[in-house]
Amino acid sequence: MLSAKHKIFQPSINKITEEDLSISVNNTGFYSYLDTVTEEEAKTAKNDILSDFKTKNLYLLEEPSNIEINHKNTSYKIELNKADWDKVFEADNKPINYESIRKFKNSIKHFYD
Amino acid sequence: MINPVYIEKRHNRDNFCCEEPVLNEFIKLYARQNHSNNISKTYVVLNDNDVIAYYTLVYENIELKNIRNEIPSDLRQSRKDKIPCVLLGMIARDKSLKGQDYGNFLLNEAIKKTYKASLIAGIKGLFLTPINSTVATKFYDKIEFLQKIDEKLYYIPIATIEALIKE
Repeated sequence: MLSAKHKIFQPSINKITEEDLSISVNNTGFYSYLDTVTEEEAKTAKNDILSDFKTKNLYLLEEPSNIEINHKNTSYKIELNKADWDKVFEADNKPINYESIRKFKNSIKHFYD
Repeated sequence: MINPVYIEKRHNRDNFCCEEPVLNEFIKLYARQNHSNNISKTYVVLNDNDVIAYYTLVYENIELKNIRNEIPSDLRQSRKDKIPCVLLGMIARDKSLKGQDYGNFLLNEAIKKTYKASLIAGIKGLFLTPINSTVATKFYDKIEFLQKIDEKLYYIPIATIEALIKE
């Protein structure tokens, strides 16, 4: 899949076009796929890209609002909204461990009697 | 009810002895000076006038680039390369209090202070740095709501702190 073949460039590059295909993220980052991919892969790249933002610890000044994918002579623009980003980050947000909190508070009850 | 208070010159720290020499040295030589100079704030538990336990808090900026493991998502989302937080730099109790949950008590007090601080200024949570990699790490590892970022850094997000206060 796409994620195995890309390079991440640091933010501040608006757009660079590679020979066959490039994926650019407005103002904040740039993805370049050096191998050719199918049109369908380009269209479904969104999840891979979002996932990479997370796993690579890429620091974002601003979450991109769109990703532009250029495949040969065709350009695909993928809109990203807040829900997309929330989905990415919520995936590994750890839920609050209430049981552990209760156990902890029970252990110190006597200090407050 | 035990109530930790600000460290004062008149408090006796000479007899304080925990398992970690650095923490013994800090309370005897540096804690009060740093407190007076507003470098850190140290809260002590007293038995008569003797310090028997203490913890020290500072405001800190944790640099994300120094974190080697995966950064917790709520920190990454903060859009800052430095994360404002309260740091629990020192936490110790006298050896004689071993097994009485003083560590948990002091941590809870630090959490309460952090919660108050979060209402005044923007901070992401309480960070903890174990001074001794075996004793302190063992202590922190037992507390399941602590997020272990790496061997030298633990983290309690404000959301968890709020849950602790309200639970």
